[in-house]
Amino acid sequence: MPDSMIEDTPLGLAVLGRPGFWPLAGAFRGELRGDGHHVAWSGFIGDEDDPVIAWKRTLELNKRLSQPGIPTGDRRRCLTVMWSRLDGLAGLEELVMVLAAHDSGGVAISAIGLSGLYGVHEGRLRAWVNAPHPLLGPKGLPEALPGALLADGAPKWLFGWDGSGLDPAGLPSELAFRSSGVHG
Amino acid sequence: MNEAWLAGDLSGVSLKEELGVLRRCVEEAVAQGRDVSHLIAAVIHTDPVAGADLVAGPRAIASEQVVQAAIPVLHLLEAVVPVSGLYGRLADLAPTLIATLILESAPRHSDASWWWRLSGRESVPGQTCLAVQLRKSPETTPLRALEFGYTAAVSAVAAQGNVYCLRAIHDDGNHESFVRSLSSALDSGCEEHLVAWTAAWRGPDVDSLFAAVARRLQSSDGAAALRNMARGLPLTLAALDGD
Repeated sequence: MPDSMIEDTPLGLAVLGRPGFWPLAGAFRGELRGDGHHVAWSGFIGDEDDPVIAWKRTLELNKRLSQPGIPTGDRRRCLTVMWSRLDGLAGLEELVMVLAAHDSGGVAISAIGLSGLYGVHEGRLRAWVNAPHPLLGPKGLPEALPGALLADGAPKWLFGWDGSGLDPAGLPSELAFRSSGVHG
Repeated sequence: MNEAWLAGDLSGVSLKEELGVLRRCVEEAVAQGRDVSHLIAAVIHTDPVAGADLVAGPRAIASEQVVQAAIPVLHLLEAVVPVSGLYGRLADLAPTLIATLILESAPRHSDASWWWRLSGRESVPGQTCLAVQLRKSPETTPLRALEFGYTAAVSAVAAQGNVYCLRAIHDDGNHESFVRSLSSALDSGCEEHLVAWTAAWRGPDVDSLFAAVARRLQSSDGAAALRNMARGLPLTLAALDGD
């Protein structure tokens, strides 16, 4: 990961839209802020063709993740708790998700179903985690908890790419935000 | 008036030599409210060039009846006259039939720019082309209509809750118009889950957008409809409660 992209602020997470007319059907984002720490997540609930069903499923997932409040403990424990909140939730076979926790010690990032994670460097997307990497695994919630990457810092924004469409390396950040549904 | 001609019997008639006489016959018949469809069809079938001169030439009769009579055999005229000029001329002669002309020509010409421009003469410019093509190509048609400047037509359909037209307005970059269209759609009883459809292209951060929509709603039915789809949107629910 390029050092020049690292920032010591709560990071924003988003997933890049998929090809097609409804590029963000089933996309979700959320965050929890606590005293000195911060948890954020973003992903796709699945390959749902029906945007209405997909939306309702994202509400269930966001509720599961956010309703109990921000976990206590360090950033690594935060990730463990957040993943465990998805236990028993139906229809996660195609889940794509990136999850990050940030505290005074740095960030912990965990993901499933991603082909790459990108930060913004000089106005364009640049790979922050390249494949192959333990962080970049297949879709769907695994039986064992996904591993975590610990770092001192991370880009202010991280964009997850699920491998659909073109490799987003070099994409202008303005387009990346729009593609991810992140609006000013 | 030649009754045989009106019945479509042109036996022994030389169209090239007697077109002027035929034209006067048509004029008289139209003036008397007589049916000219058989005569017009017979002329076009017999000699499409003469038929084109009769119904769309420089001395064509500006009559809804004549143009209406030509509509079933327009494909024969298309073989002898440039189509964009033909339909433009017929629209000049019978402006009330523009929608009919668009519908009639749609199967053959809906990709043509002149076909879309013809719709610009309607009272709501673009409305018939939009309606026809929206069924065939819902994803691309609203943007095409906007390219021709048919914003009012797209907005009108969007205000009925058509998600493709709503998306086109959104993508066109007019946020105010988009918010207005969403609120109009909800007020008009649209049953689509507009929050979900909007999130499917705009992304999940739709709360502040729909809070703005909530503040624009004019009806209690619209507010109730939005409330039903606003789960997980605290700003929207607050706006529905009057903030």
